[in-house]
Amino acid sequence: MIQLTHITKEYRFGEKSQTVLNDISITISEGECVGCFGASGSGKSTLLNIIGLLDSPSGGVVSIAGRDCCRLTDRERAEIRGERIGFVFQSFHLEPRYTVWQNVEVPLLLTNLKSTERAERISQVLAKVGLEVMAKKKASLLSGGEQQRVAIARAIVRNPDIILADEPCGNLDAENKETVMRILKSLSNEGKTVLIVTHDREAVKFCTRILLLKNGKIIDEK
Amino acid sequence: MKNRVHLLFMELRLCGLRMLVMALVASCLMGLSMTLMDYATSIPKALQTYIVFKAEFEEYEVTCDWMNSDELAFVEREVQEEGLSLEEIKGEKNHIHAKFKANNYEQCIRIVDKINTGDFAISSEAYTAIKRLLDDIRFFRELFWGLAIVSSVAYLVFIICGEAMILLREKTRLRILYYLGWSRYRIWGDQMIRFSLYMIPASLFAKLLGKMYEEHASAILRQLFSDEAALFIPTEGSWIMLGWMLLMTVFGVGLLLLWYLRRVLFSNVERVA
Repeated sequence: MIQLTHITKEYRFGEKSQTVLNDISITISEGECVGCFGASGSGKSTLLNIIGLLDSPSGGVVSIAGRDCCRLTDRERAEIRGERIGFVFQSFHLEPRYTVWQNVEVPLLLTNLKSTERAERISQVLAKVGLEVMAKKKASLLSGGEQQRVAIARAIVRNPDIILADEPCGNLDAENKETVMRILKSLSNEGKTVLIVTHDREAVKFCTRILLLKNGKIIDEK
Repeated sequence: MKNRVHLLFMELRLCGLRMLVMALVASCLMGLSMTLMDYATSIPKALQTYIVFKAEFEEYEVTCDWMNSDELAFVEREVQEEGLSLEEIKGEKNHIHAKFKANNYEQCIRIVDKINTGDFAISSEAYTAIKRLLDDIRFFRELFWGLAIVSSVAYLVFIICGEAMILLREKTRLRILYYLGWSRYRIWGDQMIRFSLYMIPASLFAKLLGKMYEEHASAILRQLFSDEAALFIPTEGSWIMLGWMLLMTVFGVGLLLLWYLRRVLFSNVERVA
């Protein structure tokens, strides 16, 4: 599903350069729930951004479903992001003035789906994350856990194959962490490829594979 | 397409109040700067017309005083070149006085400019009045240009800062759209459309304000000069701004069209390849 081959990422500051990712090669299959652990600055978020086609590597090849994504145009990368990848972030990135329903609707407005089809899909995903009753509530009025569940609903509403989660439990209490991780795990059980970037050790029990990053390199894999 | 219009309206609703304030302030500044530019460019022409208009009702009589015989010969030559002759020559040595009468305003100015080298003391009511008006024209043109430049700079600074603030506040939303599958072209095209959508009503409003400013400016001119002077002030400039705004809209729509065209053309090329 996702294949990274000899990925490097360097940032240049004048004549100096800093290597954030150093020769990373991994293959993530369909339906896997992979946890990417590491301390701050280990390169895990950069890795996620490269897989999510938000950032380009300095070297190496990123391939999604057999397609080399490094040579794609901005538009083609945007299309893949919209159709195949769903993002979940630590700070939720919801539009606070929209209702739960509207927030989940935004990705569907970029497609040609009719309003009835959109409504059906939104109802389905809200039911999946347990927020049907809150559909008309504004996002700013929700708790952290609820907001993250809305973000997950938005990430899966276009039925992507890949879910990328960057510290999805970073702002949540223990109970909400458990709920969010269970939802992500259930998505993986449905056949979606889930990659979770976190430094929270408790997330280990939900993952089928663990990658440990340090100084831009994978130092351990279980 | 219908879904995208729906999304655009959702976005408009989000930043509606900020956009309304932006549109109001921008249109005030825009209307002011355009009207001032109107005056700055049209006042010289209008007052020149006024001068001719006024001069036609006067006699172009020029008196040359305190001349010596050489100077008298020089003036006489210049006057004769224009087909005229000196009248009422009197006095002696360095106290010779003479008069001549031009046929029209242009001739009067032409002769006086030629002989007015600084050594002569020339007195002409029409000439003095015209010179004074020309000084006034210069002063008002510079004043209006100055004010127009100040208000234009204020308008530009306001638009740039205001747009930057909106963009900064909308940064998260734009980033989300990027994550959700919008390309950079789409995001900037969308911003251009949004900008045009509120700047068009703003420019229409500016035109309306421009009319109000015109009324005030005409009153001031009437006080400073005369009723005739104010009649010669034309104002058309705020239409230029409206045209500019329409251009912005075309640019915004053009960006989106380009995006679609690019998509259609390139996808065909890819299929063929």
